[in-house]
Amino acid sequence: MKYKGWNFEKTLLIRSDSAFDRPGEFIDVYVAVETQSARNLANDVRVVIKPEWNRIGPELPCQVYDIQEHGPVTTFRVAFAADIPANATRRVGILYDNPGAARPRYETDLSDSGAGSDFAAENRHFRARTDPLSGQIDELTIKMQVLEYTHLKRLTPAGRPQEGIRVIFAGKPACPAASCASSWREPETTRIEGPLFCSIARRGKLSPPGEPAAESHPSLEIEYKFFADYPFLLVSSRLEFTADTPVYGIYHDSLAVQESCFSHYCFRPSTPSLPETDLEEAGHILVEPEYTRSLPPGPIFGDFLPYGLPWHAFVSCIRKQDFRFDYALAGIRLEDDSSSPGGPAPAYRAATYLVRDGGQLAWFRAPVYVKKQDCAGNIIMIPRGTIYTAASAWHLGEWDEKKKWLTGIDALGRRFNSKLSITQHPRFLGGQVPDEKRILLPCGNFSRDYEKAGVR
Amino acid sequence: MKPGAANKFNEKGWRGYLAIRLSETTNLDREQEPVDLAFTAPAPGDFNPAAELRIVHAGDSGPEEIPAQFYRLERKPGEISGRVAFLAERIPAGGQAEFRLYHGNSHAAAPDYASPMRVSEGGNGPQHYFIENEFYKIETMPQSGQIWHVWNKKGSNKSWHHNEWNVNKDKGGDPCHWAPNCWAAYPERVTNGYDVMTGGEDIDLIDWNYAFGWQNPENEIISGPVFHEISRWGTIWPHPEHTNPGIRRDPSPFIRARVTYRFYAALPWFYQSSVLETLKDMRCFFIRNCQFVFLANIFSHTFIAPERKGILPEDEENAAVLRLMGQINRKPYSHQQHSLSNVLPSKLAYYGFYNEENSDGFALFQLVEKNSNTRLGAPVYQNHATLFSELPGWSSYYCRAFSYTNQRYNPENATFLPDGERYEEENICLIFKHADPADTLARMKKADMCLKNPLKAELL
Repeated sequence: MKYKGWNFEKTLLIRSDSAFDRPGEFIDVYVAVETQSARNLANDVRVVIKPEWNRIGPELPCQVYDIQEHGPVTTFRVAFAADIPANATRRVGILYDNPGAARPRYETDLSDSGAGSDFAAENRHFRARTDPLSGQIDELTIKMQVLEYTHLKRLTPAGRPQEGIRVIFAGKPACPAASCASSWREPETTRIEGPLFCSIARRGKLSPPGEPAAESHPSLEIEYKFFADYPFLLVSSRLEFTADTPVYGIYHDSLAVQESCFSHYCFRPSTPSLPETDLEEAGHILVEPEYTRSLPPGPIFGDFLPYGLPWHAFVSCIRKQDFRFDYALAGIRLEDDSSSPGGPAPAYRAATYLVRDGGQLAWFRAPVYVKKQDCAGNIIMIPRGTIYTAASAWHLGEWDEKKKWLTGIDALGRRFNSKLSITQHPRFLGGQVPDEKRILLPCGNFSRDYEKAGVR
Repeated sequence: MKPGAANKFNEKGWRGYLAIRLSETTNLDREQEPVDLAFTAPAPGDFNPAAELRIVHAGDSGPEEIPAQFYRLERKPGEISGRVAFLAERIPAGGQAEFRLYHGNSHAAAPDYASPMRVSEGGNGPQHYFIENEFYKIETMPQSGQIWHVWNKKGSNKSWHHNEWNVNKDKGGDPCHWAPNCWAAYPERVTNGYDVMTGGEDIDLIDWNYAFGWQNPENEIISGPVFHEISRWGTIWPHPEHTNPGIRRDPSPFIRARVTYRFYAALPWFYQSSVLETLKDMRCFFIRNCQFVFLANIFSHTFIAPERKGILPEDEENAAVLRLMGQINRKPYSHQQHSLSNVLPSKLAYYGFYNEENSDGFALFQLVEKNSNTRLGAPVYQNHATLFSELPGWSSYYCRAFSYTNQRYNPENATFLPDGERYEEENICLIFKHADPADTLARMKKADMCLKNPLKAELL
């Protein structure tokens, strides 16, 4: 037997109710074991497909992390990728407790480097690099493979790290003061590295410009997660107001790109009054500098884009001289939540905004947006305890005029937002298990956005 | 005398007047502001309405007669009632002005107000007219009377019509004013729908129940020195030129409409309204109004402004200006019709087009959208939105959809519309000369404010 020496095994039943296959599904589970069997978890965990309850199939590369001992109980997380067929249940075994096992080496296209906020991650689809001071993504470069050649194109502006979150504080007297995550200086950082994914999470206070961090300033956490093999990364943010705060704007889920890299902005809404038998239709706006030079800077499409767009994208369908491929950078919404003590979180002109300014294009979702930021009457008060969270997947891919990209992105959004059912067996009886902490996964809460017959 | 032009008025011989107070309440300077109000005045038995009614501006320089149009007049013993329309030439922001409706002067002759508008018959059909003033020339369709061609006399002076059907290209193309209209759905017909993707302009799975398919509908014309108004109404039958007569269909009427245009002699805009009603249960693939359609090469840009709903009093709305893709063949998917999906609300403040090279401009200000079901209360909505369509070599247009299927012809997407659906709209269409985007947006914003906040007119 190949797995001689392993003493225990957990079984996962992974059920998909989706009508489509899910090849290479990223799965990340929280496992509790008895501490006496957890002495070598960093090395001895193996994940295997199980065609039957008593048969062991192929081994899947896995990544074990966040091992925590809580007295007699030890918890850890294990991530792996598995093919999950449509409307089927896949049985997976997690083998552990082999004191003699050595750490396995898995082939991966994912690599990361750097220290602290200075972080770089790369796979065969794209390369990302953060600003060393704030940890915000500074460079996002798409890779296009043709035969043995890899062509690179940087899509984000040089020297202008992604803002991530922007809060426009309403100072006195009625004076706007904007602060962004890109103005952070060496925030507290947590990193995870491995063959399947790597991530960097940062947290700190978002203070008005020129003010030292204070307890009353909003707390912000931003995380990036990169995967082996996948042409997307995940971006999440959590903004918490720790004191009543007057603002003119809260923008999150933002992405800025070089204007010269793209020709169109594409968006896909969700239309409640459309019957499920009908198709959603994607919209397109020309953003190519050659044709938009005469237009005023600022919001391109007013407040018309719904706050909850399932996905949107910057598209290049012009085959630029320096990069003769069509490509797209899409943002797929995964999570979006807000709360305030005693009621809903404040929202004012909540919409998705598309903005052109200074050679760059940006989108963001704004729960609070004030255009005229010099009037006391326009101040929105955010109560203490208000939290805004958001998570998206940024997908980099090849665009094509046959709509393969369009239907592919919609299918990916549908897949991300159709959750799998994962149950663990047998029930753990070894003691009290601490609650599972929220982690960032390519799983969203918006399955209702994808109930229509399709998209065109 | 031109509308808006003034003549000294001699009060002698007039039996009396009704005072009219106009107030500007939105703090905007007004010029050439239309006023239209109901009145009742004393009228003895020998009263001659054509001669014995006048509108006079009571200003600092004394009473001045201005051109006025009295219409829908009704005689009752001892009095006359009706409506009067005139233009108030200038009222400052927050200001007031007094006008007087003089009545009763048996020696007065009918006034001769020279109108700057020319209305002439086109000669190709009972509804064929040319309406022309300083700002535009408009031609109506010979049979239906829908607006067919529009020329911007301050701009390129080139026809803005549309070509939907090849067969009409040599006959002047298809109309600019395309609505109200409906694709009545007949998905159970086993017909050429199977070949829809391989050609053919007319699909038997639908009937084109379009107002511009009217054949000389019932109509009323009110004409005078201030405005020329044409109203048409009647059953909308399947378009005679685009309907296969060999197909069996219900011969009873199921949609009725009324369309009104009012062209002001001295103004660059005209008023348009429509009412569309279902007379029996039916199915449709779409039903729309508020649709003016132009050849794709006419305009280079579009602008869209939202209503102020939900915006704080001191905040400002964002208008959008977009480069049209149809004009320059830059659509990412060449056959995808609706560039802006269905995210625009069914009621906007206004939208429009301009051409940055030849300065042509068209804007539509939405005054009223009112929908109901006269039996059930609430109307049916499936995809209720403003849609924007543009395709290279074809057309650019906005329309308001009440029900609109994205996946056409599918039986499961045919919308059931019950008897009693009623869709009403009122719009102002402005023909203007574009200079630069900021100037155009500022002018549109002011025009919108003025149009939606008319002068307060009180008969004292």
